[in-house]
Amino acid sequence: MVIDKQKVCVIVPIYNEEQVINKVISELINYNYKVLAVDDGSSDSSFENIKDLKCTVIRHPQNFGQGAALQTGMSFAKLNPNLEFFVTFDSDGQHQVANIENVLNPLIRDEADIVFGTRFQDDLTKVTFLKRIILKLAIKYTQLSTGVALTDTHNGFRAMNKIAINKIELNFPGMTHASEFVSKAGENNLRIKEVPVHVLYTKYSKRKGQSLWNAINILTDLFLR
Amino acid sequence: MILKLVLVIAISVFGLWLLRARKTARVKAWQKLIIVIFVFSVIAVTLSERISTQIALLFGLNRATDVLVYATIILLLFISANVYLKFQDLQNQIVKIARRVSVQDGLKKYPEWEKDA
Repeated sequence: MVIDKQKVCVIVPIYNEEQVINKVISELINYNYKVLAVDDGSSDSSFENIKDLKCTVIRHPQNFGQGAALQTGMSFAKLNPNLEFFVTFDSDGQHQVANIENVLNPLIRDEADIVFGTRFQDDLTKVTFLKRIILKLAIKYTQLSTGVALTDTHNGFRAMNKIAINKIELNFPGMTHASEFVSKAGENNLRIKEVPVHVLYTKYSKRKGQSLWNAINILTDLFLR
Repeated sequence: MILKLVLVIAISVFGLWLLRARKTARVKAWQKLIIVIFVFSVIAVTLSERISTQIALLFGLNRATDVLVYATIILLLFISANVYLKFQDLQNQIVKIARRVSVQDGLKKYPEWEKDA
């Protein structure tokens, strides 16, 4: 099915990604998607590097965390009546623009309200042993606490339709929002689907990416809320 | 020993309930009551060793000092967790205000955003 890509809003939360952000956003624009960048109070020149591109950029006055930036993007995106689908996309170059179609397809065919990209349904993504174990534990915990069975819960690649974006409201400003996405989707009885996506771990993204220690912070957040 | 175990479990469950449902009036009242009870216990212990020893024996402990040490540790943990959560609540409030500002700034910058194509 062909879809007007200008009706697809790709929300990109950004925090200090000056080295790669221009390339990531430019590629999304080249694919003709509507790009909404949320600068989460970057202290480097991330904002300057994209402000002249053909995209919409909104800014947080200071750094609050990826969850906060995503929710700001979602709150803003909802206001545009021409948008039909919403994609959340990492700013560090890990996600592949070509995969956006994969996460959109179930929405276009009206088989789901929210689609999660997963790294574990095929062998395309290479994940280190320790990371794999911690991610699997996180998945198990999310399954137990939310009742939603997914194969990958901490992947930033997702797509939603209007129903989902109106029902999901993220409260955790930090990285806990990934579990929150799943639990809110479950609580609101949204139709959930998973599709495989390829996550490319470059030297840059590994250095910039989430420390495995964050698993402890996420667990504390989920427990003490 | 069994009494001690029951005590530990009871305190944990009670503490967890106080933390998780921290916004209800009942919980807020209990939080204050705990501090009042603690203050009175300290006064009682200070005034009379006999009373404090009896309280200790009631909890299956031999010395009043132990009761005080345990109570202080529990109170400290409880207060730290409470302060941590209070900070999180405050941070969430700040994020919400900042979000409103960011969205409004965005609408000012892109006035066509809210309009139908």
